[in-house]
Amino acid sequence: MNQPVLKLLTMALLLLPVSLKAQLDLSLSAANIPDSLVKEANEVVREDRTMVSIKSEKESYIKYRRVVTVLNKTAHGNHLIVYYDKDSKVAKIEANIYDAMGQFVRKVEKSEIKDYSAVSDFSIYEDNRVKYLEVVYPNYPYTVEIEYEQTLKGINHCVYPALYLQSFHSGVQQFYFAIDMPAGQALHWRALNIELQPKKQTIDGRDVYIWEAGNLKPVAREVMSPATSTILPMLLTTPDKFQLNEYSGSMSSWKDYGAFVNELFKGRDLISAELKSVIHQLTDNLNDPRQKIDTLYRYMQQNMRYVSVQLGIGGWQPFDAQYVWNNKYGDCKALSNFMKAMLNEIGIKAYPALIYGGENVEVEILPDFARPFFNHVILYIPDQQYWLECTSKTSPPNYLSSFTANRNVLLVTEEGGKIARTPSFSTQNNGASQYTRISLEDTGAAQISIKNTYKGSYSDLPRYFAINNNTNDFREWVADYSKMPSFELKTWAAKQSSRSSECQISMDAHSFRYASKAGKRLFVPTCPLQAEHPGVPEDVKRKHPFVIRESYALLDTVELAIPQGFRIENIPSEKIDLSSSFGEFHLQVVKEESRLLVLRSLVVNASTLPADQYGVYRDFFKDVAKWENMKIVLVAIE
Amino acid sequence: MWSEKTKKTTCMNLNSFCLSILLIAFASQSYSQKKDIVWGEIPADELAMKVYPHDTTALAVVLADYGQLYLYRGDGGYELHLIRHKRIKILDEKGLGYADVGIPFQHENGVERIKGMNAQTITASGRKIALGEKDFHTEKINESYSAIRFTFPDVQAGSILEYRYDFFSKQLYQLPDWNLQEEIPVKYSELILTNDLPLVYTTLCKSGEYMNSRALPGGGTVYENPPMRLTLQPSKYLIENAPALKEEPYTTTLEDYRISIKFQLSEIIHANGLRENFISTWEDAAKELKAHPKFGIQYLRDRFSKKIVEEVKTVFTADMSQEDKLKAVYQFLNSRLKWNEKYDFIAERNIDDVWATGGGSKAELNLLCIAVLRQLGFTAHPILVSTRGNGLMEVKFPLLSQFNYVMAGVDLGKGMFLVDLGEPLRPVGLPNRNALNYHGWLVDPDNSVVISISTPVCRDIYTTAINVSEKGALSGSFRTSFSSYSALAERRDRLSDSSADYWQKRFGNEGQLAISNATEENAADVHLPYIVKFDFEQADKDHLQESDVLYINPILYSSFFKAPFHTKTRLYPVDFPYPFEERNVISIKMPPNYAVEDMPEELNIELPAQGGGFKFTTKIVDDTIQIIGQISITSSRFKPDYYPSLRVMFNRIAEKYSEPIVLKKKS
Repeated sequence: MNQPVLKLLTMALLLLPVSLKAQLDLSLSAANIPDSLVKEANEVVREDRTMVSIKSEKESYIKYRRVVTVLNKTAHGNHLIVYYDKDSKVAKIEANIYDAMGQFVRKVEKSEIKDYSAVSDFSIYEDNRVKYLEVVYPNYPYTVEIEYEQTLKGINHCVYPALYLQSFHSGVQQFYFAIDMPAGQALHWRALNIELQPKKQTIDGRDVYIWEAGNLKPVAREVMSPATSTILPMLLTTPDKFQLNEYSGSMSSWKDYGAFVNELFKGRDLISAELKSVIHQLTDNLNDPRQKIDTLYRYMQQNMRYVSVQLGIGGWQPFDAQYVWNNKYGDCKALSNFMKAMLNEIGIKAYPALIYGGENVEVEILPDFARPFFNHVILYIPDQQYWLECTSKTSPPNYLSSFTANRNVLLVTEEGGKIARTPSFSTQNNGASQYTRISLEDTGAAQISIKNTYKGSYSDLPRYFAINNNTNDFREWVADYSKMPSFELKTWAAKQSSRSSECQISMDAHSFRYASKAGKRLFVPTCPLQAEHPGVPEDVKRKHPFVIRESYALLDTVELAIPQGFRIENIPSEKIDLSSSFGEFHLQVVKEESRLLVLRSLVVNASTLPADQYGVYRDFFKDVAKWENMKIVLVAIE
Repeated sequence: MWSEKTKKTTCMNLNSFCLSILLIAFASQSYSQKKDIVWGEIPADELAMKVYPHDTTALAVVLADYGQLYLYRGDGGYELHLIRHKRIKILDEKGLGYADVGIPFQHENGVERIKGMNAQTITASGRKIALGEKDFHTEKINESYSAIRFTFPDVQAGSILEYRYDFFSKQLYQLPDWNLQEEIPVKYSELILTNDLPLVYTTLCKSGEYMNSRALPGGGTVYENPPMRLTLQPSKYLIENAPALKEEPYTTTLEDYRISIKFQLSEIIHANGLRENFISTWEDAAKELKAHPKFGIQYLRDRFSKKIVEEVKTVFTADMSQEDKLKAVYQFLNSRLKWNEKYDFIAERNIDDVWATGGGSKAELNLLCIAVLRQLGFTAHPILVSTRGNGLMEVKFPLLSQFNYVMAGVDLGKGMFLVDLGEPLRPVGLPNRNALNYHGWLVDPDNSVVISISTPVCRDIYTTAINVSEKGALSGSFRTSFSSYSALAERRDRLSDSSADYWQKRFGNEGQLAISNATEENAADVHLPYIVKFDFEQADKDHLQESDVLYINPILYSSFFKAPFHTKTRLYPVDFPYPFEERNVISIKMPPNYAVEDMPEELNIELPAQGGGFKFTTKIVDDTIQIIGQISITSSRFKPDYYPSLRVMFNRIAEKYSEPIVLKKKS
């Protein structure tokens, strides 16, 4: 096409009304939505179109369009977040608002689109930024039409789209995803939780894949749900070949992608003679390889700190070991790489492990489809089957918290990538064992002393207390969890073990009114500081299985000294045994001369249970709560 | 540049302060710095320091913070130049976070800029590691502000970090604040001001009420609370041994307690020697705001609000009183406008645009509301407020920069109604909770006054009728009435969870009570108390057996089962946003042939200075026990001296509300 004609055409387009849409678009009217898509929905997506054009191994272009009818204020469809950096510029963002009838209300102004740094709290500097738009309109329902376009380069290009076809509480009328690329170039894709095949055609030397779906009924979000990627329909795409700066790679398999990451790490583990001599000084007189690892790990924890600086391909490539040594800081990749380099010096092999960190696993890493969903790096030592969290200054060696435990990771080895799984918590290494002595006075006041041992995820808070040694924080924590209406903290101490996750807390407190007093009776709670277990919210209509993510064991021994002149009048129950497929609870009260022993154990096993078992799970914990809350009645002897 | 008077009102968003002393800084008076600070030269004792003697728990300490502030005429007009040199010692590994530094500046229109950044780590052994140019990152925070961010290399416990920079600004209405107190102790901090401009500044410094003071011979004052010493002279401000500023629960904002220096332009001296007030009187400030295109013009020019008023009028009916009409306008506007959570008092857009887009900032919403009310014949004026998070309002001087919030005051002839759009569940008269910060300024050129912002007592009333079975099982009916901010919170929670078992979750005591027949009154009428009624039954009665002795916990619900104050002493006052009351009225019908064996004792506690109290009374009438528990907090602020009484009262309440009643079968 010759240039002047093109210009004329562009001019003509510019002269059309602001929006190419008619001012009243009846198809956008909220009344046209089938009821089945509205039930349990906060929004109905009328149209969701993503078109990605792969220009080369280095660059692609995305066009996105969403038309969504917002039904109430908890909806998310009226929000748009676009990540960008100086290479991946946003070409346009536009949005229009229509009222319930489909009548055009207004175009969203440029000033309503906010521009933020995407720097996370813990990062000192990143060049990632975000465009953020929240469309507001006071009268529900209303419809928003949002479009944006963006050039994708660097990491933004290398990771092809992984799209949920719908989000929770959202009905979808029409979903459309197209990707086009030079003909003959391979594309890997996978549909999850939905049967979906692309239409593939070749036009003008380009392969075009189109996926379409529609009429997706809303899915409610449920508590204790398995990973979202195992529930909602999802489409994953991933490139066969890609190029990131001077590095070329493939995501045809985890082996290939791991080999690519290995290239990014290559040569970054060289260390100075100075550091070498430090390493040998620390470890040469040790024999046990585990002791050597622990020593170097503690050395790193004491001397390096976590600071995130991510520029360019810094999201994937670590700063080299020497940089960390010079600055005494690094991010997760750099610190893991540094630790790997130190271990390498004494002949211990370690692999960086790419992981998706978080208390809740939102996305499961599929062992047979290489789509990177990683936000963190830890270190694995294969010979010892040892895991190291290199960003923590406090974690014991070989301890992974709930943030990284029990999930698939990609090990970056010299032979390419390998999927492995991080350890999960067991009833042996996760929980609390509490010993409480209550010496009760006839006024209801009590001297209370506790000695508790915590393990696994139960140790995280006690470890915090052990390190920070902050009395105010500790007092607030006791106040929150204790059964004492008011108390005075006398002494306390928290200690952590150097070799395992175990932590100990001891405390002496005085409670002015531990037992409630009514005339000649005292009503005594059996345990002043109860280890917390998960609350169980009501959820009668759940459709999906539920997951108990961690196994744990909570053991209590309470010794209650009865004040002189009092006798036991009532113990609600002296022996309780509850048992179910996922756990057990036992309670026993032993009466002795002038004291009572209360023995309690709650053991719960990690499991995935069918939806219809939720009621059983709930009732179990309701019972447990009742017996934990029981009060023993003492009465003055006349 | 000073001719544009309206500019005065556009400089804002700076923190406000509470004032106890005031100085006028004028002209240059030269001081030599008492202590010299030389780049990289660390006194041996500071290099060797392992713990800070005045606070052995400190994770880090500011060894020195020197500022020299020059006001001068530059090539492009008046300018200020701050040379800052700061030195921090890291004492503990946990204090390594103090090695991450961010220095914000306003890049918009080139108002502020930073040059000459230098930073270095000095290890405990005295080795120096300097940052290179590449280590300083400039990052855009938003359209107006950027920050220079950097972190120090090779930092360990024992390291000293120092940095210096030149900061330039063309904004001279307020000079940069100088904090003399930080979250870590400050060993020495000093600011020297050299003013070569015909501008006069009011210096505001909040110093503790608890310090002894004496005047200095050369002018100025010294405040002492050993080991701390604060010296304030004209143009020179310094502190020695300032303790760390510590967070406490139930305060407004920590900024209210931070010792800092703020400068506000107060006078301009013209070439002919005439002095013009820049901080005027409240009346003048009101007149100025009235003429401001983004303030007064918005509610005084009919053309912006004409269309809106036509729409509003459609909701009026003939028999409406003025008060009904006010409520109707409020509800109508609230239903059509969404607050974007932004706090301000200047409308960035015209109110007709705000109406068209269906939402806006606090100023946009409330100025629109004032415009509409005025056109409908109401006497409505703006009230400017500094929110709780923004700091206490300085009531002595009309400093506009301290405000960050505006609402409407409507005079219906029987006192002022506070009108604050932005939350449809909040009734007329109840501003956003953050706006309850003691004072507000009524912007009425004819009667411009500082008013105190108060709200009616927030009342929760729980009325319980309990029947006790011979097995000790409880059943009965429960009624709650929530008003004010309680009603707002309850309505909000209810709206966000429409599940059928909502009231079971809310009052079921974790499944101990089975709740049925729940009904709500006035759920939608936010101007009336929110009332919930239901029947209840003890959930697991099965294990109960008939017994000669029955134990009953009579208080089914209270927000004060647990005492809120845990520390013995307190540094800053306790601050409640509004007065409140919780009343429990309980009647218990005993099973036949049972009598009271033991009852919780009556209790009466009164707080000092009529601050409130707790009253617990019991009575037995035939087979019915009557209990009334009443908790009330009538004043918003409790001085640290009164803290122990307050703490003890809430401890007693928590204890009292766990005491059971014992019934015994008559023989």
